[in-house]
Amino acid sequence: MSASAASLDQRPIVKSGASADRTFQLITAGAAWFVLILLAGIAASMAWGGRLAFKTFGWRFVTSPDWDAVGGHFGALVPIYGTLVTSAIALLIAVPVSIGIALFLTDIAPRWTRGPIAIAIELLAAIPSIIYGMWGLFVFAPFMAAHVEPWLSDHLGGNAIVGPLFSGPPIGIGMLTAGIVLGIMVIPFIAAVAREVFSAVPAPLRESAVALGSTRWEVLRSVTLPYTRSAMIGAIFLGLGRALGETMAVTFVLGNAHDLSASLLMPSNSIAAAIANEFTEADTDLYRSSLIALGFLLFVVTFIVLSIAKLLLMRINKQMGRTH
Amino acid sequence: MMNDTATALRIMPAEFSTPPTSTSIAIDIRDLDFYYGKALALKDVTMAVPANSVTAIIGPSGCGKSTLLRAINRIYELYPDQYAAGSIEIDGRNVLDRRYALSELRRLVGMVFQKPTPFPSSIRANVAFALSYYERLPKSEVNDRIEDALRQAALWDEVKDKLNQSALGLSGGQQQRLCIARTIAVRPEILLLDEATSALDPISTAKIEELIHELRERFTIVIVTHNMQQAARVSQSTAFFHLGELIEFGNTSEIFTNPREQRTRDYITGRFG
Repeated sequence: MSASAASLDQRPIVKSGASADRTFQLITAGAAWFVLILLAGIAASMAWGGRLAFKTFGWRFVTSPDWDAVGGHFGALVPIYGTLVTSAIALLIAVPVSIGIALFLTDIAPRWTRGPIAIAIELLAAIPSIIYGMWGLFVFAPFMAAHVEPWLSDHLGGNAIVGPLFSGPPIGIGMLTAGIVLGIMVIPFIAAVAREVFSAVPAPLRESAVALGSTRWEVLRSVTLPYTRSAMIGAIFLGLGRALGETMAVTFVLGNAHDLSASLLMPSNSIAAAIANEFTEADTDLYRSSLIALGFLLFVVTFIVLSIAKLLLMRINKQMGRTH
Repeated sequence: MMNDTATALRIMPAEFSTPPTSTSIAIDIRDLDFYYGKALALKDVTMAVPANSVTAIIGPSGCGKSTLLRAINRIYELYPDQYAAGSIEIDGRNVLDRRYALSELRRLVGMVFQKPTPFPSSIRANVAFALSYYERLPKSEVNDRIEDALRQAALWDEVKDKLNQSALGLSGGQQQRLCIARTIAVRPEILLLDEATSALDPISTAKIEELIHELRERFTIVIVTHNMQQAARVSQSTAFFHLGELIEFGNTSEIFTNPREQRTRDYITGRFG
């Protein structure tokens, strides 16, 4: 009897932790909501800043390729097109290279070389984008103009299907060059995540495939990539997000021309580059508003692309019968 | 000269290394050393695994049981710092020879792992996984082979209506039988089971043991197990390993009732391990 009374007396001394737990929950929820509110706030202020452009041009702001600062006509089609095309080229280059890097580092490279190579690749991510821009303009663009682009236009320019993509004078700067520079810039991001998820594939799973006679390529194709699909798509879109918004490097090598051209060798413009280049020159309210509206469109484009990725992922996971 | 030496070396441990009931030899292991980097994991192992029967490998953790299996199908070559010396002959040819094609070896020798390893795809795709590596089969034939393999693995009745569903949705025991089906679909001669039931519940384990019993007529089966009752139940020969050495190899009934070596007796009676 006295023993149970003593234990009852002792109970309040034990901290319940309930209120601390609640406070902690509120703090974490607050952190999550803070980002969402910030995001909505930025989007809203961009839309508000661009309202003059949207009101003046309506849908033509998105569909028109004319960008005439003197005449006061602004259409965002060229920057939108340039942004999407350069990002697509970047991914086309970065994804296979990154997968190759990740596979080499997790599977093939001798153990002692893995650390140094991984660090070198992560250092790529640490190079400021302005350096990439200068390298692109002074080293890479002349190289493209002298060696790659003449070859492309000679050999592919006459092709009935892909010819229009590779025609025109080899001037070095343009969508292809910008896309390649962007590709190099996003490689470390995709490769880092890919390396992480590849090394998380259980060894017995890979060994099972090898024991059945798979080559390394077949293991990659039918075990590693399907197993890491969700994370890999995430990694690719992390890289895409970076490519879409990259400003400095693209400004240097894209050419900043508001011309709509099918050829990848021709200069173009991207949303981020246009804003960076022209903000100081925006002397009218309509011009400034148009640039802010461009920023809002970048938001929208990024949002649409990421949403498509999420939907794609959900569909794949549903097909695979996974619940997570 | 080399041959004479090898024969001479073999004669000496023959009474330990060949079970008396064996008719023909499926895997002839001679003087096998295995290294993880500088660490010697198998020391001078010589044993002749009889064909069309079940050979159990027992021994305490770290004694080299799994290493032996990994040497037989050369899966260790995935890892640059592991290597094997000596010879492992299957059908009269040394599979450790660099010139022996890996694809040929892996068709001949199938392996099932401790934990079920279904690939993240459909049941059908899992079973058909390796078929295309070795044979060019018409679609109807592929379907027949899938059904045949699943029947042999005693899984057909449970999955025949959901072949296109994800293999990840199966239970652990079903997944393991799927892995066996996937392995026997390419018609190997030898099946290596690396503690294939240790992650399963007793009912699934019993099913797999039953399966091993049925499969032994068509395959040479080598099973590594921690479970001595299992070794006694399913195998005809048993090899006891300790610290990387083959201590004793013989008839399962003799090993368990009347082992020659004191260390075997100690392990079987639970004094260590």
